[in-house]
Amino acid sequence: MTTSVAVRNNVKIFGLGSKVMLFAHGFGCDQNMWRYVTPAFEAEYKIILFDYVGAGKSDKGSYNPERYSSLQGYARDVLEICAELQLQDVVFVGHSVSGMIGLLAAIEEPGLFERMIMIGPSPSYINEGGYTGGFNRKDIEGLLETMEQNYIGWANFLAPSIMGHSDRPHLGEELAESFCTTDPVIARQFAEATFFSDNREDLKKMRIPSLILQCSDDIIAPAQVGEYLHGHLAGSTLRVMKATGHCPHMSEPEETIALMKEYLALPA
Amino acid sequence: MDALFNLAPCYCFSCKDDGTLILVNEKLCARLGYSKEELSGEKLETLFTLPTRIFHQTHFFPLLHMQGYADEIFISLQTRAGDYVPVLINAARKESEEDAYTVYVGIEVQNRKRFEDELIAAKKAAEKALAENTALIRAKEALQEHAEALDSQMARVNAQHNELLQFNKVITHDLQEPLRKLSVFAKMILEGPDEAPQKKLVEKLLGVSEHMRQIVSGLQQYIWLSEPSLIRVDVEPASVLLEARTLLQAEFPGINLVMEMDPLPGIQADPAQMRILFYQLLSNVIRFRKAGDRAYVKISAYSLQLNKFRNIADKYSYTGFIKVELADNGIGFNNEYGAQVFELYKRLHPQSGIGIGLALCKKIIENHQGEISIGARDGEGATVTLLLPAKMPGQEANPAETNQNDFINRSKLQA
Amino acid sequence: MKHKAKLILYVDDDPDDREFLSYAFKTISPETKVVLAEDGVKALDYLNSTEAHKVGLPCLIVLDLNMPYLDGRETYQRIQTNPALQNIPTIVFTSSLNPHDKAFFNSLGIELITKPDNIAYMNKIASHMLQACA
Repeated sequence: MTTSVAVRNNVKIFGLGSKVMLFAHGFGCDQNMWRYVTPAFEAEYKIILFDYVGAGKSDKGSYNPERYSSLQGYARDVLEICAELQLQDVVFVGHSVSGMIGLLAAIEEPGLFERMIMIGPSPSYINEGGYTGGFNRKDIEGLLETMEQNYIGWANFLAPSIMGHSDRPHLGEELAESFCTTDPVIARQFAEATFFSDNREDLKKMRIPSLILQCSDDIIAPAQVGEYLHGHLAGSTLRVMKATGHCPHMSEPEETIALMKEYLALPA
Repeated sequence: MDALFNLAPCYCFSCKDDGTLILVNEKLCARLGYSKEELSGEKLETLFTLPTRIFHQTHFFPLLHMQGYADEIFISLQTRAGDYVPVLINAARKESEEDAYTVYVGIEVQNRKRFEDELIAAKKAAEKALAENTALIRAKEALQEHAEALDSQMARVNAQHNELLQFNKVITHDLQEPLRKLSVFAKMILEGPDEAPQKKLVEKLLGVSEHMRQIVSGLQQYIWLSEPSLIRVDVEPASVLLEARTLLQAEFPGINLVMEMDPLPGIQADPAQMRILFYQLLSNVIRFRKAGDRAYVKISAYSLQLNKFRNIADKYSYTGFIKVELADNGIGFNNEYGAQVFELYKRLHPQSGIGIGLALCKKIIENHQGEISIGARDGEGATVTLLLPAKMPGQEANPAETNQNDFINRSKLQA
Repeated sequence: MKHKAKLILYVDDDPDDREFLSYAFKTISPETKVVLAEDGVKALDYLNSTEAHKVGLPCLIVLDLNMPYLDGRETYQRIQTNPALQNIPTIVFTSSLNPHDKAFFNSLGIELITKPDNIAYMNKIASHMLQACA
């Protein structure tokens, strides 16, 4: 019954450095999302990648709907990985909801982390009172309904068969890989936990310095969210990117890497 | 070629990597209610419904980026009027020197949508029937209650087992030692010169018997705390800490205990036990201060959500906890021996007194279904971390009698 | 025939017991040197120190069991990890009546002597310990 956490979360460790950089994917795909960014840090850091339980090649059998109904359950994954690998002074890089997952982990065990880099984070996605999250409640309910309806469509992400696609020679060896494998039921629950989360009250408990990378024209984490975060997160630095959309580490990796390196060069 | 593109009985469109539309075919324009001119230069996401935009940003776009293609992806386009158009898409991304672009081809799948809707409706009906099964619901509730009871039972059993180990240690060693010494010194006096019983030996006798008295008294205290108290009232840690400091200033005159307190949230606890807890912790701050007459501790706290089930695996229910940290700048200790500090009568320093304080604190915290831990660096001070449930299970409050004398007697232990 | 004076290391956190046993050794064998350590950590420090190597390692280690920092068992186990120290004979000297302690050390071939409640027996005990000296 007790699988090792490294196996459960499909942990990958590589890199020549001794300082640890832990990358956490967000809602959407898995650790493969970091493939354009990690090469820039391989020489200096020890890179750790993982998939949350339910995503990528993690052990889906370990998925517990009670645990993962809250972002706390995902923060547990992060803390369990750090405990099993006995990590210290971690530089945590979190995309999307992993910004908040990292925050929750850092609140529970601040001694583990040196600093956090958050790409496209948001403390709350739903507009309320004077706060702009970017979505109305009905929008999120519509998303969840679509994900349910799209159940069969999403099943295509489970294990895309590469056989018969010999007309794609440029993939070469990577034919054996499957990207973005997601169990559709788990994906929907992850979406629910993510988009209904509200971590605004937790921001003041954060004691670790952080970098907020705000994308231009990101419907999921709009500009007001980045400003709100910066205003409520002590020790945070806000950089607005030229990259548009929600995944700058995919669409504009050079800009992402440059901003990360600039931040990491500063003393903690 | 142009004609083929435009007359094709499917939807064709392409865009640059930043999402700007390059080409759209006639069928698409007609279906969505735009003209070609209106769409040229617009963003791809104009064509999508909001859920599809989110899906695109989080899954579709990364997949295309990594894999170069994506087949049989089910998304929804949006007409000018806001109606949903369910389509099945194949897409391929081409990279060149200057730029990259993606081509999308799709067909409308209203029929398939109908089949899917029926499938999903049937699935939902079945799930609903199951969910509404009242017997099942009752069983689930009972299971939840039992899980909670089991969890607290397990905590209790663990605590009791530990207590037994502690008692055994005390009886087979801590008490043996002074008893033996009593005998040794008494016999030395008996065998010594009759006329002048050696005063020094008698003093040693007294010292040993006082030591034993402290051990027994400490054991009594420990046993008293083994009966879980059901008193739960609102307690303000700040006022308890200030009370404790007043008592300690009397016990250690000339020592200045400086407390820097952040605003501390209220907890639900047994006030008598909380007084002992904070008295012991502050007493340690004074005892283990660096040389001089000033002791310092910083106290901070905040609320967080943690799993209520601390002992059973695979059960999760997130409730509120309060985390309190007391960080001093005293002599600390070597963290390697840290686990031992909660044992009864374990001493890591000569200043430890008889070594009972932290064992009592651990019992008190356990009585409140919380956790206590301590970390330190040799020469640099220690930090005690307390985890207490924000709202405790158990009976409602009885107004606790604040018998001041009772408190003084109970808490003035040689720690 | 050994001309070098015997050296015994006695580890005990109790000052009275330290006084009793070293006094007993002084009485029955004044040329024997007794080095006292208050706890396991100090004992290990001594054994690993240059002074020990200069003067020579002890021919016997007498070990109390219940001490702060490292208890007797832990101290013994740590001594065993050092090949230079492994072969020094050890006797456990404790007031513990715990049968598990006795069984544990006997299984390792180590004698466990219970501290007496009458110091009249100390000389006899010291004598017995001296014989175990290598």
